[in-house]
Amino acid sequence: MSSFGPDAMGALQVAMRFRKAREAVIAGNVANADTPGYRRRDISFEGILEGARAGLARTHAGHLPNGSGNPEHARVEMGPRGTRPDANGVDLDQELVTAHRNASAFVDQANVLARLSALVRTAMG
Amino acid sequence: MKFSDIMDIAASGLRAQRTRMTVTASNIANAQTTRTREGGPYQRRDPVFEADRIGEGFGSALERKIHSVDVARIVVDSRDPITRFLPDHPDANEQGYVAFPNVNLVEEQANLVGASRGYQANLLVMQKLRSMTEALLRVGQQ
Repeated sequence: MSSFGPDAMGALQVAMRFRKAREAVIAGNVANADTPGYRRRDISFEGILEGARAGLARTHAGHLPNGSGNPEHARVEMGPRGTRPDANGVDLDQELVTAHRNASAFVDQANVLARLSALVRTAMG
Repeated sequence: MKFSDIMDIAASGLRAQRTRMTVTASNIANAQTTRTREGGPYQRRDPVFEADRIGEGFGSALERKIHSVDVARIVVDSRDPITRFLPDHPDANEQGYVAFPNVNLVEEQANLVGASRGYQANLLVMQKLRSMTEALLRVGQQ
């Protein structure tokens, strides 16, 4: 049986780093909701794991580490240009819903992490 | 990327929307201003928003794709003034016409509503960020 400690904590850490990065992307979209010609940006969880799936070899120290689950290397998807006169592609309501859902997921994950670390401490006595 | 950096993005949105509100308030306040220091009636103004790089340009690939917002400049609306026949007005020309600013109050009201909505949206993002940092603090406390 795999330990619930480090494995689960590592997975939670990857998930929470992704949620934090995505919240930053959404914050940028909301801030630019009235910037002419701005296209909305987003990152997906699949996007940060892409390198791992492709099984890319890291043949040079200067290459980006693949499949690290590091959101800093995530592929940023650009939305279409908007149909508004200023060609802005941000739907403010949609962004706020996404910001809320994303933040809630982060809070949930943080709560699970808190429970896990309490469990580990109990196990250690 | 730190939480404070994300807060800065939301703060830039607040600042930009507040500027837009100030400019709109100035347009409404001067809707009947027939003389200015530059001469002629007041001309309505509009802020131009611009996506701005965050950090000093040394950020990660992700940070280079995320932008805060900045007011690039405030442009003067070049629409012609509205002329009204008021021969007794001190600013009337020889024909008795006075040039009034081309401020459309309905348009300015719509701008105000838009700015206020944008401001609230950025504020909401800030609240979400706060609940995230609070949750993170709880992990260490238990």
